[in-house]
Amino acid sequence: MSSQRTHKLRVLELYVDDVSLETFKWTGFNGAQEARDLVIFILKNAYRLKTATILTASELDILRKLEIIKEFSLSSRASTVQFWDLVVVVFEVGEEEVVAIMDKISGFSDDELLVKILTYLPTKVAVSTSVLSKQWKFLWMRVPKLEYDDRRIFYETQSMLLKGDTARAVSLLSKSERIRCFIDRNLPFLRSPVIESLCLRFSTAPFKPEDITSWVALAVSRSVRELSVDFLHCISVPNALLPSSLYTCESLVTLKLEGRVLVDVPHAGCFPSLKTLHLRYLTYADEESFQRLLSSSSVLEDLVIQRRLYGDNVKEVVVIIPSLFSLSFEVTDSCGCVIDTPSLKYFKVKYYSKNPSYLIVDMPKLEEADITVFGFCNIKKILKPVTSVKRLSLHLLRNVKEKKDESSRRIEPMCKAGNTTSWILRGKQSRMKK
Amino acid sequence: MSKKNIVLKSSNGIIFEVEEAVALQSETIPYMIEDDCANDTIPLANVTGDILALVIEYCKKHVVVADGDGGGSSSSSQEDLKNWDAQFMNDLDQSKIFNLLLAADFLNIKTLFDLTCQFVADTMIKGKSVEEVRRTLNIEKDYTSEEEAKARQENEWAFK
Repeated sequence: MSSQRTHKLRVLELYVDDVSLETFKWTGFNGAQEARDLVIFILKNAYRLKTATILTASELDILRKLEIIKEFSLSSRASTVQFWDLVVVVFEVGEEEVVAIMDKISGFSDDELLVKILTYLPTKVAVSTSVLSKQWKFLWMRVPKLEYDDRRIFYETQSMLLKGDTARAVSLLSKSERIRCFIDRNLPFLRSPVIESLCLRFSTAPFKPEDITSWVALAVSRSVRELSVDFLHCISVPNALLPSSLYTCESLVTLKLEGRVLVDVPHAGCFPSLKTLHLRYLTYADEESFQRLLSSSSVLEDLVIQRRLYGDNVKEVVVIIPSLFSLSFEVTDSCGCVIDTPSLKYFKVKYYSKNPSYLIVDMPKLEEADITVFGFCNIKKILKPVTSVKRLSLHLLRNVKEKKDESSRRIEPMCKAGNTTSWILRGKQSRMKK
Repeated sequence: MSKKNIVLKSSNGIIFEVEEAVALQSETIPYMIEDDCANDTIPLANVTGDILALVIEYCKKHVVVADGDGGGSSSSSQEDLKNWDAQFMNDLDQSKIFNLLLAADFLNIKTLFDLTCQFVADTMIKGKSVEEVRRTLNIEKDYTSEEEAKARQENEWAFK
């Protein structure tokens, strides 16, 4: 009898070992020890099991039934693991009567919730959970938010090189290479149908421009919603060219680009969902590419432009975006600019110029302005478009010719005309609050 | 301006009466009201009384702050709320935390779900050894030593 039982368990093992069993039904259950062992074996070992239904053939005594239910509930993964698998055992007598639905503890019905929890971890930690068990092996691949970063390796390498420890620096770089291989091998096989967010931040030599191109193309093919690329190399590498498919990505809501990235926007470039666009130290294929990028979304709310000192192929910045709420940019000598953003609420600007040529149209809905001025100081001109601001922070950093109290006298009446409630003026340690 | 109350019933039959604004932080409950799931009482078959009490405590705390501030962002009250959340989670044992997570998922309370997931991620997985995570989450090690070594090697960069 016992050898027969063992045999049956072995046979069953073949089926449940693959952890694919989800539904299990037993009709004519007689409550014998052997039958109970089999049920317990399945409850313990079938990781994916969601529903186990057990129908009794003949009438079992109700107390006996409750005893069996208790036994099952104690031995199922649901109770031993506590929460991974929802195991509902429906006990029926004959055709109709449902006697008990067992297992109140469980409820992580499948891997969904585990994947959600992994989403709250840094990608590196999420990947490391693959060694926990077979069930966890590929769970991280279903996480829709991924962030890869070699920044720490970069800083460590730099400090090793400064110390003259080349050997250690080289071994650190081989670590970068392993991350690169890992991404290259796994990114195409992610099991999440949609990539919510992909962040790529690389500074070490193993990461090549063409890696960026192909990984971004993969993200676009998975309907990426948030994409962030930060490719800052201290050595000279060619710019990473973004794939043309990016510029027609309908799913994209947030796009943040920084560093050695070449932006070449085709005529058909259009982001119907794009709300956030941050552009830092990029190179543009030409002036038109830059302008096309700025006018590619009719729902854009948040724009940041920081430019390289020279060589980004842009002569004029024209920001005419009615939907924009928040804008951060710089006025320099080398480049003219036109800003017309009537819905703007938050405005951050730095004037690096001595003799700037710019046009900023009034911003009637402005709530907060943060203005930094290096050198050039025509307060009246600077403040004119922002007179309706509620909170103003003004930093005058150099060559401020006017005396402090004189400039305050000038600013105050202008701000009072609007409804400014507070302003801060910083220049030679002066700080005033109204 | 009389405030409307909503009656919730836990799986083990415990009745809670809460203000509408408190209950409506759940995105599931409005559907149940619409579907006329019950005339007066909304039955929550997946949530036991002790867990529902916690959910309501959380929702009450969060509705007060949303009201009192007039929609503005007072950084001090945001800070208070964060501290309260941290204390709230710290006082719970593991089984309550898991059940609260499930309840937040079922009731679709986004902020509570975020809070519990982040707490589980931060306190039970992050910074822990493989063995510790297995023990905490009661995960049976079903890898052979060779299989585990292989899995570790494939994802090697994630362990250093």
